[in-house]
Amino acid sequence: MNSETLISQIQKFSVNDGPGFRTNVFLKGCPLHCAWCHNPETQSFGREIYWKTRLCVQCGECLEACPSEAINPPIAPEEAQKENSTYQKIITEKCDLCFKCVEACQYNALEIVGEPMSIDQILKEVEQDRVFYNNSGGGMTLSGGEPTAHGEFALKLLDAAKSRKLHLCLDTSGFCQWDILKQFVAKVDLVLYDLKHLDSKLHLKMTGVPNEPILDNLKKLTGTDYRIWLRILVIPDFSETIEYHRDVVKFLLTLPRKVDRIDLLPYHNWCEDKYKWLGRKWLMADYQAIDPVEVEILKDIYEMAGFNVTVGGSGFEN
Amino acid sequence: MATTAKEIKEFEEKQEWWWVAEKTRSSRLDYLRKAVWKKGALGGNYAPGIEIDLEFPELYTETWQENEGDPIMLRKAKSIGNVLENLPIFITDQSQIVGCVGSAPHNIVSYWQGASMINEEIYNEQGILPQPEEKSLERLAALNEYWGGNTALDELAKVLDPEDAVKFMSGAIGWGTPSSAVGYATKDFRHIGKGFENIIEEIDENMERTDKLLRGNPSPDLLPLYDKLPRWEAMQEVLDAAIEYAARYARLARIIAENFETDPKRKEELLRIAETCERVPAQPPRTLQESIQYDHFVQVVVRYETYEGAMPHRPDYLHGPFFDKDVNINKSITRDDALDLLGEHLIRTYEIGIFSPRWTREGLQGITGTWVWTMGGVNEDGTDACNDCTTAYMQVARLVRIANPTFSFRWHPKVKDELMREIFECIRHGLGYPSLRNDPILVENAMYWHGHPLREARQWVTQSCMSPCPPTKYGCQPFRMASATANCAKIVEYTLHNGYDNVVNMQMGPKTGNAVDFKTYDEFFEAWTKQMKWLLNILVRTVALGRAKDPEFFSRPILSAYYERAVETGTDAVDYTNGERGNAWVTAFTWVENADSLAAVKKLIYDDKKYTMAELIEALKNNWDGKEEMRLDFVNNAPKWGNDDDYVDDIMVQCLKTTAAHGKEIKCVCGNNIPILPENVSGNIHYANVVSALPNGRRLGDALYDGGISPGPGLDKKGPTAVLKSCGKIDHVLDGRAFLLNQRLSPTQLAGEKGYQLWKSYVKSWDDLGMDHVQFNMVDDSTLRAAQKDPEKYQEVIVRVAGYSAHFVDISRKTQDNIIQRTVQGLG
Repeated sequence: MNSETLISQIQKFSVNDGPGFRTNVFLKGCPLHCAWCHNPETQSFGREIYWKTRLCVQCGECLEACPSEAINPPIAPEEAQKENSTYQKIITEKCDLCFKCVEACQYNALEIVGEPMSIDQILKEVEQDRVFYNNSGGGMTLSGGEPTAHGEFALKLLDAAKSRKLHLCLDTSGFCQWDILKQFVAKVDLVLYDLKHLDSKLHLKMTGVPNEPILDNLKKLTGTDYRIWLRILVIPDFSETIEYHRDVVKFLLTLPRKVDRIDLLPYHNWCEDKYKWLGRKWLMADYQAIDPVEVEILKDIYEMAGFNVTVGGSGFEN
Repeated sequence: MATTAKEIKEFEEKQEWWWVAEKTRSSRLDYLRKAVWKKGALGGNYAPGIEIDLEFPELYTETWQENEGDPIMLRKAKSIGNVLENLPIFITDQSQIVGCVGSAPHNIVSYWQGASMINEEIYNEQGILPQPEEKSLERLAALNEYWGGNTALDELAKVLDPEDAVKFMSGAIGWGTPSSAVGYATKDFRHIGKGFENIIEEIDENMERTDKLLRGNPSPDLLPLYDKLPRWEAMQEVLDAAIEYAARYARLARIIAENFETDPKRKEELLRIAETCERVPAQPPRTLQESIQYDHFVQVVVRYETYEGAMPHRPDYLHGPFFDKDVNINKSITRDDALDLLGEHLIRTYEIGIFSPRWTREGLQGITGTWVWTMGGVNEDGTDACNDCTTAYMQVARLVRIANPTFSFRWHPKVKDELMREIFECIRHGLGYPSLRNDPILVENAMYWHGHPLREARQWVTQSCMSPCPPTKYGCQPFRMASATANCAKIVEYTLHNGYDNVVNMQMGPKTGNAVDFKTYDEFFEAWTKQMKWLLNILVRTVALGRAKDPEFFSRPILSAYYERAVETGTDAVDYTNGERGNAWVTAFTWVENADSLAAVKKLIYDDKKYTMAELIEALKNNWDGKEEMRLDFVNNAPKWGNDDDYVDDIMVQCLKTTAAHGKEIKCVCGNNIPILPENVSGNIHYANVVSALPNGRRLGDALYDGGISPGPGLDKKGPTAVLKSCGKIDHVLDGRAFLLNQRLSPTQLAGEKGYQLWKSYVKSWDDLGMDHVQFNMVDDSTLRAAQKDPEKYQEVIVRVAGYSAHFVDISRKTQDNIIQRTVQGLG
């Protein structure tokens, strides 16, 4: 096992990812590539470089520093910041990730995404907020990327966290073998389980993987006593209609038992910049964020079927 | 047109709290709220129509001139008496509480006995002179001609050490006026509440007893008694004048009621005002209206003596029993009637307007003084002191929505959940108050630093914004400037430049050696310690002298009558020999710059050796000119306070503990300790052009950090929990007097029941970490708009929704606008 894994971020004061105040540990790397993904930096298992357009003054220092000719020459900052600009700082194909450009940048416009961290390093940071967990029922949420794709390291991390008596959540897409998922859920107090779509073809089209293993795992999971908060995404032109959610309710009622809570998570487009920072094009950029108020009507559907539902997934709601 | 419940609900959902207040408050409060003049200066200027009161200084000066031979306190008492008995008075329509500082609703006052330079400033101030301006200038010239060179501050200047005086007056190292001409005093309400006639009687007895002693066997012990008699006479004079001041209101109310008022309901109210003013302050109050009227007279009258820029007070504790009696037991008034009275109490207090010199106006944006009312807390026996009146003040504050007074809430573990919800509502409505104070911590702190006995410590009120002070016989502090205000960023600045000040171009601090020669960080810190001690010492000795001389140069007859210990001993309230325990502190402005600067020096010069000290000093002298890369290195690559990073947090604690140790070495005039109290008011803006470039990366002209222990704007990159964790490393009992922390929260996070639960968990953690203060600012649309304009200062604003995070300032304008839209609507 590697003694370190890549972490894209450790985010304290997370209040919508499990109960109470939590620290989210984002493991880098995911087998899914959802079209709406709002943390695109967690998809790749390797390190990447952000180019934060707004912070870049186009001084050209990075160009000087780059040994691989992987940097485009500066243009006027206002040109680069234009919404429809196609200008990119880093030519990804040529970049060999030596990060000399990041060192050269004095404006924090270039940033390495993905820091290799050991279990001790991660938990040291997580433990700093223990007082907040104690007062709110909070703890650590292992997120990603997809935690189950990080195998042994992630399991060891959960073990180590458990031995330090931290409340643990697993935030998973459920896309993995049941034998693996089983090991993960056994180590945590609560599972945050994503449900992206019921139709496998659409699921494949929009996430890159079919949904059978996910639905199958959910069925197995609800055959156990593990606590589950199901995170149902509300994505425009994909999973936003009343009919669709009626079908979801029907499906959920066929499971061995009801999930403990449902969080409806309305789509937003606030991650648009992150795609640009990574030099990628985002296909869903044109969709407007869904107003959470519009999701209230969907909430009613689930509530009428007897589910405990939130919009937004606050850790301070029952 | 009546607003429907549905419309109000819509305003609530949109979090348009201003409209909610306007649509739900009583028509009386609505009228009074709109009829009151805004007397705080904005952007350094007074609102159009605001005028300086000339009647007051003329009446005062007239009597002052006539009584030249009198001892100062008696002379002053007679002068104030002439004002209270002859200054024009008025009653605002629909009002139930009377009394105003100034002879007309749009007037602000000033004190010509205080300081010539302020008098001169008024002469030159545009736009505040009554018309015709020419006539006003003549009147002002006559006043200034008489007082020029003869004010309390002029007298003080003659006795100050010239070198100290120059350094103090340079404005570089601290601010304040070492005279009670500008200051504030704790009020001993238990004594005051006896009724002025009873205090007059007590004084009679003291004078008779003294008279008898003087006629007995001669002894040197008797000699000081002669000076007491005119002081007692002075106290009686002002108390009588205050009773007469109230009686004039009673007569005016009756005249209007009996001759002019046609509305029978209003007529009844006017007669009640008359009866109230016939009762108080001569006699103790019996009802809520009398209690509030009494309180207001006490506050107004003392502001004919001096500029009291703060209002140490505990109104829920004082008025709570009357509120309970009238509303809940006798049911003589309804709860709505009571809310009208409390609401007007806020408005009448807001109405008090006092001229501030320009440099203070910058620091007090939009307000006359820092009138922080203390609420909640415990009784002497440790039981919960919160009452129905506490709740009512919270409710009415949301209806009236004014910026001054504000509330400071003494939180303790026994506070009931219902009241916590009321407090939360005030914060959620964006009032910015109450601030939370940790009662058990501050009681312990008061005992540790100043030796207040437990029962006394438990009665504390905030003396100004932050410092706890018991309003008791020996606990009361009469003179704020027994303390001092230090511009602490100068400590590290002088450490780097061998005590030389490159902004005012003179040797200020001691020569602690050329920083280039310091071989280790420890040597550097040793020099820092010497500069710190010098700064505290010069300020403390200057204000101590001012304090000692104050009864001779300025004199406080009203405050003396308000103080049991002064009434008992026939001394000036400010006299430090009459039993005062002493609870001075040094307000530490611009404190956190020290920790961040020291950490940067330690890291980049001594640990990493990335730069030499010579390079740093050169860059700082040139205000980082041409060294932007190096500056950014000092900003971005040195640890910063507020990120739960032990490297810099340990330095912060080291600075505080070193300063606290010195705080036990230096003594105030009463012989007690002097801890520091980090806070800034708006000093961070005021000192922007006074503090030179620093190793934390700031340039001359950059605003300084905005709170006592708040991290630098945009430098707390780990979110609110990390800020609290850093602050929790400070021992809030042993390391200083109190520590101001600003915390930003977003309406989205605070919406609904989940918002309350979140906040409650936060407060519990704040308590567990042993902190003494926190105040909440809402991240509203204006904050986010400001972040769009000035991203460097708002780097810590993080957008939080499930599973996603980004720093607001990093993302594109379009997305920012989208987030603002959602945040403002509070729907995230």
